[in-house]
Amino acid sequence: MIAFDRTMLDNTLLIESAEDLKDGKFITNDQFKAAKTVFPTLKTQRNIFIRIAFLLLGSFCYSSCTGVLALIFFSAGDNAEALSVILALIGIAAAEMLARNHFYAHGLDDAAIIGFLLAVGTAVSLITDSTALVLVGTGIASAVCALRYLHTLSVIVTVGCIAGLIGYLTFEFHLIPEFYLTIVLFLFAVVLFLAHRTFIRHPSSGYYKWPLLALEFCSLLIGYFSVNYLVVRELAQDMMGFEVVPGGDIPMAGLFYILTFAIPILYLVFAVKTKNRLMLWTGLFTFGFAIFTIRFYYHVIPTEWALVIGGIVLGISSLFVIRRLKGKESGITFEKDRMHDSKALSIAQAVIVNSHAIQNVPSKGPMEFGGGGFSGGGAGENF
Amino acid sequence: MDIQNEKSAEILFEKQITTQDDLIAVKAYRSLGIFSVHHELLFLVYLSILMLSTGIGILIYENIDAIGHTILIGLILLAATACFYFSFKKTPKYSNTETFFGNVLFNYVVLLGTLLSATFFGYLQFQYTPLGNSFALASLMTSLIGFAAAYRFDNRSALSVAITAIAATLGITVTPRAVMDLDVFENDVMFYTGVALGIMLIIWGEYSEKTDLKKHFVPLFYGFAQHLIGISCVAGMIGDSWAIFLVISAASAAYFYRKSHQSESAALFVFTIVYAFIGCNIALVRLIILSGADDLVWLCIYMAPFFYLAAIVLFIRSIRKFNKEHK
Repeated sequence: MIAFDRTMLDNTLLIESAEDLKDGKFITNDQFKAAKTVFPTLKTQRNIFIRIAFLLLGSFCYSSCTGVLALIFFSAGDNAEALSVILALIGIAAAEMLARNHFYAHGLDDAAIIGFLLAVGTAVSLITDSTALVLVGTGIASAVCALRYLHTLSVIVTVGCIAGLIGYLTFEFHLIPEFYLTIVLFLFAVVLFLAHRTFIRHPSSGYYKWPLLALEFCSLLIGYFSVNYLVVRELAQDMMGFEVVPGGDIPMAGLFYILTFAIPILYLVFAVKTKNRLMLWTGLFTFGFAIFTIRFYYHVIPTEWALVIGGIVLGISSLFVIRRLKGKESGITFEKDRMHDSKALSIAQAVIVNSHAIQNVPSKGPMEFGGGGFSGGGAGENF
Repeated sequence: MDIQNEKSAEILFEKQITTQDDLIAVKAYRSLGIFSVHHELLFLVYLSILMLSTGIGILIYENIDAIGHTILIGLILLAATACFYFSFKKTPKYSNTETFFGNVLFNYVVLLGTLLSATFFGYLQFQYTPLGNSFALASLMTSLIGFAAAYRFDNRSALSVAITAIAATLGITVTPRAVMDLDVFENDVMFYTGVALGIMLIIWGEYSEKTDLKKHFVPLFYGFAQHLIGISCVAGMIGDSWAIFLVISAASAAYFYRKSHQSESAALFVFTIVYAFIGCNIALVRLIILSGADDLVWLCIYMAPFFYLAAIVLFIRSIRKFNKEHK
């Protein structure tokens, strides 16, 4: 099923983890260089900037092909269906050719696969004019891409298509009573999670590290948002025409309130127990969203006091945990990991600080200055 | 460390690339089962500081009539001074090389102090206008405090605030949001200001490199400079005086190309190529429009896929060359 040369794929994984070992100073640079000469790898880009640059270039190339073909096809009459089919074929041919030429997670392959999926969606839509079939077609195409080209984004597209299909069939064809949609989606998330647990034990799961992480991430997010009170209530109002009268609430509101907070806490506990970083981040994010959910309906205290008190509570509790975990040499610790010293959060900090608290151009009036109060208010809502 | 790392270490040992000691070290480290929440916890501390300073900002704004201005300004000044006082007590002796607090949390105290100073100057200026009618001076003061804090306490966040504030002094908004909304510049003159500020940052970066003055800050200066000049040039080339910005863009590309090789920075290299590529494309379109030949336009549209294919091949080659030279 996998389009890449197995030996080279093995070598790529080996060299990637050898690079981690080098960064962790377990092996020297010379040893790493020696390993690189012994094990030839696929052409892959670990530097995110280079990968994005290749993705952009690839997309430009693909869209310029689209332009030229469109000129040719439309001068010969209205042939949009044939055009989109040919574009899809070009996309899959490019993806296959890149894989055969050992391009893996490189940026160019991303452009080919994304272009292919877009073209498939457009082609099915033009030919059949049915939303359900577009979702089915794109879902199958992206699942094939995920399995064959180990493409991470395709996993998210597949899951999105299935979830979209469930929603579409519910609202348009009433396949299941609308009210049970949240439960069905929650069950879908559970199925995804169990599927992830099964796949990860498979012998070739090592190749699918990132796609499997994406699958886990999707299952966690769908699991939370399918039962989040805010999402359920807004969906009930918008899609099912449900009206919340003053003093009343949606059916089973209590259960949704509990789940809105229980699931993030469950994620956090489970993440710490199983040392699962993805789940930890998802837990923190969903916990922030749970607070947002409550504040969306009940302004218990004014925003400014919520920020001040929240800031103090968050600060003190983090400091408390830091004190507890400082100096621990095994298990969960505040000390840096030699291996995976992620820079993502430090970069996020540098970006956030720039969107915050800078006095602005004078002509824009008094709302623009005065510290973080007016320019960076959004930061507080996330957590 | 995950299981793949240990497997790889075993394979490298089997192939006699690494020694048995290396393998034992890897196995021992993995057996510790380390799960570091260092960055996560610091990020939470950071969020709490942002929440606190945002909350205080709104509180001041809403209670401006109830509490005396003088008291508020005094309180903010007191808080900022307290932050810097504690930082001074804990900071190691000043050195031109990189220094670290014994406790990383003090980096965040410095940041809070810098942010509170920004609030102080903005509020003071709004209320009493001691620095004249222009807010530029208030952001200049913030910038000075930011630079001072950055160099004294070796704090990158404060430096980043300082550079953004100095851009604000000149009327340029370089917050990420403004960049996303293409709302960086107020008018055409600003493009020149942007380029000038970029050149100033480059000069300061070069000076720091030559004199070994906090050398680890240099990438930040070059990064800001590259994007400032790059965005100014792209915006300028869309406007009327495009020829001037084409020249500036070419000069900046040549400079940063050399610099990225010198400093072995892949990010600098990639963005140099990206800005140069965008510049070339705009210039090409400009030239085609100038020529006024309709047939040429059609030819170009048909040739576009080949143009991009050639660009991809060139890009792959240049990246390969860069990697070969520096890895």
